Amino acid sequence: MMQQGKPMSCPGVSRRHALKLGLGGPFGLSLVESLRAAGKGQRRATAKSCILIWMDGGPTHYETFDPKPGAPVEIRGSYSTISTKIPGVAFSQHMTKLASLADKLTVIRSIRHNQGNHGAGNHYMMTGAPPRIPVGCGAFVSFHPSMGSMAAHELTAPAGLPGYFSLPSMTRSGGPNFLGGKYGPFVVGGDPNRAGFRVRDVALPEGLLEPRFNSRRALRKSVDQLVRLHDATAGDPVLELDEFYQQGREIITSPDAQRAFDIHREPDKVREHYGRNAFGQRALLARRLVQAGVPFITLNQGGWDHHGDIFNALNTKLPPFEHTVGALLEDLDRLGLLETTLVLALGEFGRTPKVNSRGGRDHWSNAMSVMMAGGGTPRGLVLGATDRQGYTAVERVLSPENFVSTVYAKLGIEPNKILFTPEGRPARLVTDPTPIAELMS
Amino acid sequence: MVDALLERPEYADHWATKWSDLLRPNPYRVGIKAVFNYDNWIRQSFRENKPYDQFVRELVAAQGSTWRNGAATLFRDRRSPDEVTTLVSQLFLGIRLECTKCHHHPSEKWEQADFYRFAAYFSRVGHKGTGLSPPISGGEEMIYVTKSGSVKHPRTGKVMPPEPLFGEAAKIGPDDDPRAVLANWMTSPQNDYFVQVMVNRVWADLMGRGLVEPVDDLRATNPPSNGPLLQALGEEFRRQKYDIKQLIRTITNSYVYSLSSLPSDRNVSDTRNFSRHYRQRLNAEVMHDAICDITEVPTAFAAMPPNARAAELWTRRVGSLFLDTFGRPDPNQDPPCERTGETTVTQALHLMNAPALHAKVTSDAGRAARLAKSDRTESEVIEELYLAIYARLPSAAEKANAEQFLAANKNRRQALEDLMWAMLNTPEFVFKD
Repeated sequence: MMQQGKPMSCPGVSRRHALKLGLGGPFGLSLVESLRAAGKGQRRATAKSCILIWMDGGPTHYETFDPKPGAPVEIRGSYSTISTKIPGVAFSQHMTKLASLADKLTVIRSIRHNQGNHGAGNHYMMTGAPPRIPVGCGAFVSFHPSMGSMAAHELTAPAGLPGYFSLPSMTRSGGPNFLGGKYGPFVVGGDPNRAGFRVRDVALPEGLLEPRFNSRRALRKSVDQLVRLHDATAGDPVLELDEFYQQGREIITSPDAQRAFDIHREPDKVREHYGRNAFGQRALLARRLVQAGVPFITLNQGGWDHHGDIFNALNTKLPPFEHTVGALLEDLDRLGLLETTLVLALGEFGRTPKVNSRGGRDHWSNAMSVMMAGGGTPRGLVLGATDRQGYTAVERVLSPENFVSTVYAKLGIEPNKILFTPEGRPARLVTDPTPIAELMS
Repeated sequence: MVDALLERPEYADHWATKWSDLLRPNPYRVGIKAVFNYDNWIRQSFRENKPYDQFVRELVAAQGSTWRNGAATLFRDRRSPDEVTTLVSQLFLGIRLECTKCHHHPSEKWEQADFYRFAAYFSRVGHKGTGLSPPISGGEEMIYVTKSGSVKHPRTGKVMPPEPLFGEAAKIGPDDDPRAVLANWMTSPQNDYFVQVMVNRVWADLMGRGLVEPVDDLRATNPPSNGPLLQALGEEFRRQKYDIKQLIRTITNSYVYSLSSLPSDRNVSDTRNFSRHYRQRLNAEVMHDAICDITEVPTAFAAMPPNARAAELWTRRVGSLFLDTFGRPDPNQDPPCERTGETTVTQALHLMNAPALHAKVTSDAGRAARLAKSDRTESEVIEELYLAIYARLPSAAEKANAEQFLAANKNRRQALEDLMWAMLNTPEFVFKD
């Protein structure tokens, strides 16, 4: 273990050393501490991990965190409002659980941008960089590294675990771009609510028993006759693969690492609490990954593009969703993890004020609501405001750059950092690297 | 042997995959039919061994319907002169003009005006029909030469005349397509950039590293590790009438290609002068298809006929955890780029544990099951596995080792599966040595 107050040099903790350190503890928290102490981030981190709940399609701000009961009916829609734990602040009617937890989270009502297409809005909010060319709605584009890839690039995950997970799929602009494929998300598909669910590739294939695996490993060793070039100047890529192979084997054989992936170990009570559906159990798996020290986990939850029949659709979609988000916050808080885990819930933009002829709302990037909690984010804050009818952010107007800078700063990553593409072209991590001061305390 | 390999259908698919990394756009943006045609045009070019200058001329001056001429999809994808300029100059000349679009290159000779004079060759590309409307973009578009059109310098506002980056190009006559004039200049015998970037690309694929790195960045400030060799290869390529197969023959029949990757005590530090071969990880498609061949179990890809190989995929939108894990390029990335052969822990885990791979190794229809049922001797079976996986026969010691393992295991099929798994998980399979 690193000693407090002693000057440290970066290569102070080797991966193998870290593995021994970290996975000895109940959930590897001591490991995380020691790695962060030697960490590569230049800022003091207030969050060790981030869970990004990505509401793909663009969730409505009216029916979630920014209702407008005083607006005409064609704008306020058919939902009523409910009061929250914060006096004077109301959420929309289905947000009951989060309303009761409003004193634990921050809602930003005043982020806005100028990209009204899914592809472009995704890119802007996910990377902090506006798309360089006009991007259509169906497009999946990447011009800049995503927050998750940057976290994987800058922060250390324990025991060779991937630093960036994405469940059950990658988000549109969630890729590494010029950072390279190594920093892309480790995608865990499948439905963790299913009885036979397993995280891919980190455990032996079903039906393969451990003795057979051990015998295979011994056999592998004996057939592996390729000469390694141990001279460092030879740059033999095989040595790198050897190291990864060793790490992979450690993940497979370490009971503690395996425990992180094994959602079936959670007591039924906890699983019920998160909601027995795919999204609920993914949130629970994300919490387990946080406990194991993974820096960034995205939960990609689509279906927020309500161009028609929005109220009926949300009657079924919102309650279980907001219940799970609330359960995640409660659970993290109960485990003492909320202070060091940043939880975000947002999509690419808000939705149009006037309910359209099909009973839906369309894309609207002039206003949106973003939920943030944990990682030193103020408990019980509503920041900024839209106008009386929710058309546009008018008070404490903030940009995607501000938002993304805040996430980076909390993770201890300098948003002002200059990255170099493989071509040697400098690229600022965020062009306006100003975090939101109110959230940084 | 080289000749026989070059005549195999996999040749075209392998090199088409390489070019589609660079050219083929995302079908959700550009349209399925247009991208499918484009992919087919690229593949057909390699099937025919189309001379490289003709390949470039047909592409740079493509006209007609994106539903009939796949090459025209380039102009459906890259719609404005500046978008085409950066792609054409980088891919086919190895000259990166991206920076000069906005400012004079501080350390290079290209200036902003060069960029727009070059872009002016694309000022008369017309589009007729249904443009892009993602996520479907299903329409047909005609690419044609318009009567007029110009490119302006963004700062001075001056209309820029089409001029090449260096040397002389023919005058553009009233009935000429300016792009054809440009293509003639690009492919003219005076243009060393044109041949050198291509031979460098092919060299890099075969040798593990380019004479110039990055492979499409030729400039005085990024010199090749062996200038005379690059020059000579370029001239040879031109002399062979831009025959790509002949170029591959020239390189693979050379002494330098035959060198071992094992260093002597004197060249261990050499990582750029080709005094030894440099190890390269197999790329995603090659490794995937090799595993299918070894296990004798194909993968069922969506949007492809049965038994299709990964190298035949017409778009990267066809899902494959394997190909994603081993780093096929992200189709959403702009600009498109060469892939890197890096290794990761997820790759190691995938080879070890992926259920899809496990299913192939242990399939009832697979090679291990077939060999186990056969009446062939252990020695023959082991030789077959070594040939299939390592492309060589086992040494006496290796054979004895494997025989011992098979003898110690009662279940012959399981033992063969284990041997196959073990070999697939060694670097000798994963790397080109």
